[in-house]
Amino acid sequence: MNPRGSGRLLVSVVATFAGAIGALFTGAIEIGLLAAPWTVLLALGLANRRTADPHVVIRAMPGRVIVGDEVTVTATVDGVAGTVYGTIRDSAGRAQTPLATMADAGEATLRWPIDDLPWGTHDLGHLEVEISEPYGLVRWRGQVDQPTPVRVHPSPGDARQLLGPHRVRRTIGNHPSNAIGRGVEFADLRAYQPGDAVRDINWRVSARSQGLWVSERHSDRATDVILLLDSFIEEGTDATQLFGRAVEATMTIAEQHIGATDRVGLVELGGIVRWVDARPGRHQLHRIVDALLATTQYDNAADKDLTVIPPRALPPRSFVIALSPLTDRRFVDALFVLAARGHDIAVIESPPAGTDVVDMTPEMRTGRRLWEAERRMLRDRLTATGVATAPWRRGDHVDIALAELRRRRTLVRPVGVR
Amino acid sequence: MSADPRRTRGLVPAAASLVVAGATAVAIAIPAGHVRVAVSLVGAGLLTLAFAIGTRSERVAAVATIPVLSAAVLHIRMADESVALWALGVGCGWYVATELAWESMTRSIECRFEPAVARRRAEEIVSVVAVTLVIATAALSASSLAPPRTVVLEVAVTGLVLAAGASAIRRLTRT
Repeated sequence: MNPRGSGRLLVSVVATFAGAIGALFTGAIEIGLLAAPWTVLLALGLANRRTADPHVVIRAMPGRVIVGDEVTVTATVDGVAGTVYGTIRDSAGRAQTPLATMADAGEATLRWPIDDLPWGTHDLGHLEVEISEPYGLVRWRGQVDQPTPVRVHPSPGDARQLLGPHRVRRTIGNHPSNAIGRGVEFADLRAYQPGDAVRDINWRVSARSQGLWVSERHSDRATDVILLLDSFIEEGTDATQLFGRAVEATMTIAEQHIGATDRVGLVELGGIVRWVDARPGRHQLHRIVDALLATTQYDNAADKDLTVIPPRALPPRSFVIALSPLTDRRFVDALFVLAARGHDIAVIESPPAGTDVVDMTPEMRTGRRLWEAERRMLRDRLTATGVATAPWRRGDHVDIALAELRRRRTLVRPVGVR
Repeated sequence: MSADPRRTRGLVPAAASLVVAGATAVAIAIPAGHVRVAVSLVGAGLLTLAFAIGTRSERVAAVATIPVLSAAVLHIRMADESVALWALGVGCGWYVATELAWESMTRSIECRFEPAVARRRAEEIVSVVAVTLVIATAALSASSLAPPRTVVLEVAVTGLVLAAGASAIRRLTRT
């Protein structure tokens, strides 16, 4: 920060000298008295100068919040005396209310409570600071940039529909498998054998027949869930909104499956390709959320395909839940490749908003019909390869899309699943 | 490139107030009683304040005080007897008016207002005026003890003033 003289300093110096010289040369003490307040201001201002090389520290607490929660940004200015003015800007360039405070003991603290940050990662470390020394003769101005990231998570999803995989791992989880074992879902009945647990005895059936019968259940197993996010940018005014919804849905689904003890991973296929290896546990949810918060759309014409993704990011025969508007050929090709590799795939399709049919010219309507026919063909091709798709329309809760997807998945079988 | 609307909004009233302030300065140049002069100068001071707030510029606020200042100097030059206390009062009024104008500009342009900061500014203004009145009154009381004016004394005092000014400037530019 650099000090600069203010208008007060200029007027004080000019008035003081003009008054002193005028009084001396004219012999009229009144001229000196006229400028006396400015002389006193100059003297008091210089005598009270205590600011030297101010040091600024910016902090944001907490560093991780949910949309709507309050983040308090604190800027501590050290080595200062006088009045401190500050304006914080977020990474989008929005200025928060300018604040002012006083510093008597060499340290001033400015606090901005901010509760309107949209989800994403924000850097709140851009501070425009101005220090007005006592009596306002000298002002320090400067811009301080200290990386102060704040991660704003979307509101926790309240989806109730959990997509069940066609294949499961051998570890215990929440998805019913075909195998018989410990679980909740009823599978079959068999005659009682020594060693069976008493709680497995089906008393109703046993009462109607000779001997004891026990209920067999499908064992509950976990699976590997890979969330495949399409971040190929598309032309259109609603691309950002579509993408934002997809990110929110991805977080909701990730939270659900991690709660079901699945190993969850993330693959973002788009202008930038990145991934988070599939792992279980709440920590994994944080890793996925962090990766998603850093996600954005990049316009990229390069041919990105699955070869750039390491095998551990896409475990064999894992359950892939894709979120995509299905408008980019590269992403659609990737879905076919994954299906051919034997992955169990479900696609939540967030169709882009089109122009209202009423406002269309006949040529536009024809074009629209062709485009819709192409999309239907694409969905049919995906279904033929065992990939179920369900639309997630604007304004609908993600649960509606998940319920539809569950229903459609009962009608398809991925490659290698009987 | 268009002008900042905040700076041009008050130009018309500001120009009008400057004209009236200049006219007031001319009017007080006509020999008159102290009451009329004082009233005229207060009016000019208020108009200066309006000018400063209207133009929203600290520099213009400072320049706009010139009519008041020149009127006061003219009156001092024409007065038969000492008008030291009157000059002191006008000086304090001039300072307070300018400070108020600057404070108003800070609030309106930069949208800054904190009660604690405003209170501190008021305390600073009051302390400057109080210290000025105390020192000036003491100096006026002791003026009878001042030595007779000679060229040597004038040169010495001028040297002292210049030395003090140089010291102040050096201290200001050090940082």
